[in-house]
Amino acid sequence: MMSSEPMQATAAPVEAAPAAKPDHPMRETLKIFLKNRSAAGGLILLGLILFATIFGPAIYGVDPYEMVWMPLSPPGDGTPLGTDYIGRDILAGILVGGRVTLIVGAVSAVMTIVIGLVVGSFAGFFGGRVDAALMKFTEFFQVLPSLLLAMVMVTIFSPSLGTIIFAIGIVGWAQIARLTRAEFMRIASLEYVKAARAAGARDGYLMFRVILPGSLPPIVVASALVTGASILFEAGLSFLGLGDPNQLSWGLIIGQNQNYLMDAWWTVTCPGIAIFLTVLAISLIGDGINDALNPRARKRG
Amino acid sequence: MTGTPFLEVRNLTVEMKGESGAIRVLDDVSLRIERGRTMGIVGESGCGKSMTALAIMRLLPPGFEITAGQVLVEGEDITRVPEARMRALRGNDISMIFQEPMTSLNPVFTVGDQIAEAVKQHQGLDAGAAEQRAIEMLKAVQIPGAEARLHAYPHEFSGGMRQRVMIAMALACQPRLIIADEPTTALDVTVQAQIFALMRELQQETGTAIMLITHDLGAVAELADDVAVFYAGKRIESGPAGAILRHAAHPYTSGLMSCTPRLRLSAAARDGAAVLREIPGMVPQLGRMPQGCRFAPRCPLADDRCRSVMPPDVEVGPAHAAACWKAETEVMA
Repeated sequence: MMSSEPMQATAAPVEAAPAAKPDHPMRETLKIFLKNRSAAGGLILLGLILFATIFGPAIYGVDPYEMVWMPLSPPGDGTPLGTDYIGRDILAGILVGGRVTLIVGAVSAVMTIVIGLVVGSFAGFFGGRVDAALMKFTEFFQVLPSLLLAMVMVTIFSPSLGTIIFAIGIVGWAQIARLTRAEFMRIASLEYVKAARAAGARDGYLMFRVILPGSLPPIVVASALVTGASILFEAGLSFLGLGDPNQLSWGLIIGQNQNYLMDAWWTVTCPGIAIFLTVLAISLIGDGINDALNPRARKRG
Repeated sequence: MTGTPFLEVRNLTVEMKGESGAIRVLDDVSLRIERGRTMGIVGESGCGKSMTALAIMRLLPPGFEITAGQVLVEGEDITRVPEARMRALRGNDISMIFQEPMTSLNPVFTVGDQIAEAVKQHQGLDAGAAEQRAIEMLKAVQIPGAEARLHAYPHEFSGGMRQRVMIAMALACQPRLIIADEPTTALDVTVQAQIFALMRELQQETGTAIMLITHDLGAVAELADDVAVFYAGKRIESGPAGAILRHAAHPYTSGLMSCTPRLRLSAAARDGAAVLREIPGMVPQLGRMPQGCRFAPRCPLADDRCRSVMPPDVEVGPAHAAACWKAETEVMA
């Protein structure tokens, strides 16, 4: 109620005074997004996490690879978050390891989204045989157990950052492709696409300037979820010992300390909370985008 | 009326390839649209009016195919030209206005962007010149405050205003033919009249030809110079609008006209002249066409010949033809 009435009140003066600058739909969406408390909270949380991983190591100034204290000493006893099984500072590890976790998560999410978007848009736009072939290809990736596929790929190639990003990117794109295809099919049948075609638009223009902008809302929401899932995936692979052993990441800290879980909970819990908060922040943002873009999901009052 | 017309459709046949074989949706249709004139295409829903328009634009939906005939644009058969040539024609020489103004504009771009886009693509204008053209076009279609409205989004316009924007888009490249597929069906009657007046005015200024697809005979009487009547995928009568409205030669055309409600003075109404008639029966299903004349099952004049042999086009007056065995010439009528 509160959100719908002021909008109607502003709509009338726009009609009366044509000079008033009309609100771009994106700006309106942004306003709704920022009004959403949990979405704004997610944005702040993600901002803090990014700040901590970018500037944290320099501010804290402890080398995460060095033995700095007694092994497995609890939090507060010389180090803020305790030390791991060979006496390395957990807080320093989280600050530095966050970089790898976030970069791997973000880059592989981008890869997932780009592959899914391209496959889905071509399948949805051209239909027929192109669609059938691309969807068979997509199904092939959908039916394979994704963690297993990623594990096999990382094992075959040596576990470096590149192969991990590639492995995570290659297993998750199928759902984005299906979503994009469905949106493209829906929008391609709308009158304004026919009108653009009748005005002489090329296929590429129709796909990326006419249909894509209209199909973005659900894809943006799915992309946020995919980013969260990619971070979890990276942590999962590292935990299983399939991460890059030379690159400290949250998953790696958990994996290396898993044998001490019963005696030194902090070695595993602290990086675990970091992963949890990051994925939570991204999910809140995704949810907020969904609410802002989808008027039916907007909360009343 | 002399020389090659701007658009000539010759014996156009369109088929839908289905699982149970090909179904003819357009059968041997011929039309001539002269430069600067308005051709009204009339008929019931599903008789092939829109299909003809889409075939001319070569935008038939998947599964539909032109299997015979020609579409000549100033003598060039565009059923055979490469797709790139077709794209250059669409929007530049022939443009189209669709039925639904509410959904024909892209909701995520401003109307100015949408008008300017076609100009940029077809006429190679830069962004500034294209925007200038967009303002001119919005002024031409009488949208108040054109400069400010340029940056407005489609949802800020009413239906009639959006149809004006659509007309502005269609006219932006100064095409020589506009195909208007039921441009006013979704609009109020008063707005309809405004749109028709606007189209007539713009036609006089620009000399563009209009192909007006409609099931509204009132619109035809108001706007069209020539009329073609379609029934079940065939063009059954064509000729000058005045001649057809006065002396319809095909029984379907006269039936269609007696189905149109007219306001009459009370004196005439008392005589019972205001009774609204209907054409009995239904349009035959595609793929299950009767053997002879397609209208025969519903025609009050039909005899055995009508039911067994398809009637040819008969000249019934100057430039006036009807496909009916019973068609009378204008002189006799």
